[in-house]
Amino acid sequence: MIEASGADWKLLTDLLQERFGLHYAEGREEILAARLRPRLEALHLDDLRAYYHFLRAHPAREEEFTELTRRITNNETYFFREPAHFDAITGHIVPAFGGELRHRPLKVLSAACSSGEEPYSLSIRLTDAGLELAGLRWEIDACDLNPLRLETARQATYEGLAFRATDDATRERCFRQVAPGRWELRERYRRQVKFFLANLAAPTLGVGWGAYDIILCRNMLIYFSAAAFDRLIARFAQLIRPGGFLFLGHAESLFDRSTAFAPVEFPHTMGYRRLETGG
Amino acid sequence: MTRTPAFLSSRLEALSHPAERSLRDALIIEALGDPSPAVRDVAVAWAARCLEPGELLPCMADDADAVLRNAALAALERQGPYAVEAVGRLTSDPDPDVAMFACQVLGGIGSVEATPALLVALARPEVNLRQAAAEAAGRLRARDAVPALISLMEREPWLQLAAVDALGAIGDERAVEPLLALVPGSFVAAPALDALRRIGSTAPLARLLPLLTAREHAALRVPLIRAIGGCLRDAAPSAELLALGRELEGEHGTDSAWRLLADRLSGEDDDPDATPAAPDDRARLRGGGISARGAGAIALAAGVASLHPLLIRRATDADWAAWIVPLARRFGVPAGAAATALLSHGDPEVRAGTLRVVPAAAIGASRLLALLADADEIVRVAALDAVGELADDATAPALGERVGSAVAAERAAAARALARLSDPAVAAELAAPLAEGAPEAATIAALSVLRHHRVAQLDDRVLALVRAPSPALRRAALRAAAVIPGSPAEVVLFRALADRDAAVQVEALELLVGHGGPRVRATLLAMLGVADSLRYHVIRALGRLGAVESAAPLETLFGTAPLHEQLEILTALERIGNARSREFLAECLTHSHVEIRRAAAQGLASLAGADDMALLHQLATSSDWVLRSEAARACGRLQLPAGRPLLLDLVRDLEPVVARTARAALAGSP
Ligand SMILES: C[S@@+](CC[C@H](N)C(=O)[O-])C[C@H]1O[C@@H](n2cnc3c(N)ncnc32)[C@H](O)[C@@H]1O
Repeated sequence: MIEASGADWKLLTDLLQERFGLHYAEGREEILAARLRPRLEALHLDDLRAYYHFLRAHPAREEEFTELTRRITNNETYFFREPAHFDAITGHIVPAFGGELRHRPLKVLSAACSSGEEPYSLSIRLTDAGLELAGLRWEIDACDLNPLRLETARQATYEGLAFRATDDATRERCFRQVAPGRWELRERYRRQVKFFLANLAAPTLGVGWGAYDIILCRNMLIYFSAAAFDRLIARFAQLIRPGGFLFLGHAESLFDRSTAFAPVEFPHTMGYRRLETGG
Repeated sequence: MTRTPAFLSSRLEALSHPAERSLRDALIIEALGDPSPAVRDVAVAWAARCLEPGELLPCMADDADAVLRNAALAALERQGPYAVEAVGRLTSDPDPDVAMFACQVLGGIGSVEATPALLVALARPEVNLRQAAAEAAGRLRARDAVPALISLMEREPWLQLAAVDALGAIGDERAVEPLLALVPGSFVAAPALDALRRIGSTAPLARLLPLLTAREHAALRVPLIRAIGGCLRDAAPSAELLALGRELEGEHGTDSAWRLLADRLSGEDDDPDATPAAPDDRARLRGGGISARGAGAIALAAGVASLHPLLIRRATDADWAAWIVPLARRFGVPAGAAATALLSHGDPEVRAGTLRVVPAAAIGASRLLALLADADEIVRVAALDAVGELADDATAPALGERVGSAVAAERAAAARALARLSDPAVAAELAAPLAEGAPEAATIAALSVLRHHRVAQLDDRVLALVRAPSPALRRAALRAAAVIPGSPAEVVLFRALADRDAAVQVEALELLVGHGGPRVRATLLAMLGVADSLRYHVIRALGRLGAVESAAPLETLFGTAPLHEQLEILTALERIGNARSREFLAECLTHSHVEIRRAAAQGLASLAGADDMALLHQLATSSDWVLRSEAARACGRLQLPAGRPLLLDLVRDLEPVVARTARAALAGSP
């Protein structure tokens, strides 16, 4: 166990919250400690307070924050997770946007995309829905905090559990086997997806980003503190154009919060529509 | 507009001004009954902070408003030890409901000082009240309540469950016989077994073992497995256990006890009550659920050989090994032909587990050496560790060969094992990997042997390798050089402080700190004058060395140093801890940077003694929660009567971390 008092833990977890929005429930110190221990060893620090001081004041703190993001984020994801969202997009939202999309591409943001399964799943589903044939174009921006995951996303090569919800036929069709058990996504599904590093809790988030028709932000907000959650939703309201949609993970909701979004029901799931005014 | 917590708390904060105290208190009480849980949460914190228990007690008696009552209960619970006396008096309140709520609060607070108040409630006639008192006694682990709980259990069928649970939580052996009387025939047999498990005495074994294979008690088998597992913690081999083993081996059918044990041993995790809260927590449960461990203990203690592969394969997991290995060795299983058979089992995890469980001497060198060629890496590594346990020079050539293995885990295990052999054996085997042109990984492994076992005749080679071109090699060589006595080795470490690789520099610094001595301190002191990235580590090193002579130069440096070095300076001064550094730390309490004030407070709190109550009072009344928390920590460490009033105030702090620290400090009070 790392030597630390309750105050040390609070200082550190408050800092992580301030910096990344990530909230650490009390009582989970042991887990966090196990992830931090190698960092303390590498920096020759012997207690958590010294590490906290490092993150607050050391000239190399930015590098250390990057190092940290690789350890403290939960990056669990897989292809076609919560597929009802993809059905809603291809079956309801795109048709409803209709004519508008003849003049400009559909713009989607996959916020907290981890290793890319989510935006690629959507890309596959949009292709399968025949958008290209109908002359429609789309662009998917995908961002995450963890640079290692983004590297995987750019390589687009997956194995094992990434395919737990993918049937064999789809895998054969959309991927190319590059080694036993390793599959690379075919180019036609990759070219519309752009990855970039971003901290969704950063105060300057979204400056210079475009307006989106749809934002997917799934299974990240559960790790966010209430305040960071509210801030990000408010920011999304500025990034989605009126009438656009926001999708959250099934354990996350805007229930009981006053936001610029109204809930909309789709078959087997729900989303949130950006209201024309407010926010 | 709805009242958000932020809105309410800002209002409450505004009202915390003393002049408006009565208004504030009324608002807090009103907010305790607010329909929104978020508002109530804020109000509970403020109520715990600002209201006396006496002001909250009337809400507790309010039958009409359950919301208000529960919030008041929560506030009292949050006041912790501060409220114990006032709430304790209520266990004799004529209104049994009030007394019952009082018991609940006392249970939530958990200070054992409340035991006498609970005994009052346990002696009253009202059933609900006694039930609440029994539950609270369990949460307090109140040993003094054991006789009362036992008699409650014997006389009151209604209250048996509460009493049984409480006795299990308390874990006192006096309860063993009365609990056993409830097994297997009563409706609380399963809870009674769970209580016996938690008590963990060996006494019930004779009575419990035969029940496990009895068909008529098949429904109790899981609680039995868990309970027996608990009772085996300190048990010795016995004829009864062996008899149970024979009986278990006699019947492997679907409904047999043997099958159930096998299922528990192969299941990932079985205990519904141990279901991990989050995926991450699963790692913590790898050591096995309660019934898996119970089944494992039975399989070993009763010598159920057919279950051993299932169990022993789990010994490759460190958490499991930590409890399987001592237990297996205590019962001397597996041994002889059974152990030999397990060593050639088809599952590599069984082979590796056996190597961890069976003492190496019992397996013998020739068998172990043969296993060094096993097809599976985990088996080879376990065999290397077992060979190390033998500490036999005859195994040296085989170990020497593995120091050059391509597998990192094998190299490390071979190095560990070699380090236990005699000087000549080590010298002979390390000559090749240390030679010019040997693969780097092998040389690093060889150096790691020398770090734990110096061989004088290899000293020169080690000192030469400190100049190797590869930084990784240089670091490994430095570690080995650090155990060489005398000045040539120290010179090498000093020189490495100027290495072109930062990691090598820091390594050298760490090793020099381990050496200590006036020369090291003088050199480090001189290095304070050089403003480079190493200085941060130098400051830390001086602190770890407790170098008193560095206090003044560190203070001087403080004025011009960047923040990260300033913080390290304060930590170093805390470690040096002389009167002068204290004074400096005290001055820093008014520094303009919050982290500096905090680091200074941390240092002062660590150094505070009985004469420093005024200082602790100052910290305890600070507006920065970190300083208040430091005060609580110091009071807990000092355990002085004079610190108690401070702690009773801090225990009601709005910041939960401060309250918790104070509560822990009070619990440690003499
Ligand atoms: C559980 S994954 C979810 C992946 C995907 N959206 C899904 O639903 O399968 C959560 C991701 O959130 C990312 N994340 C956490 N905090 C973040 C932050 N402050 N900014 C951006 N991404 C963050 C993590 O790196 C991780 O990849």
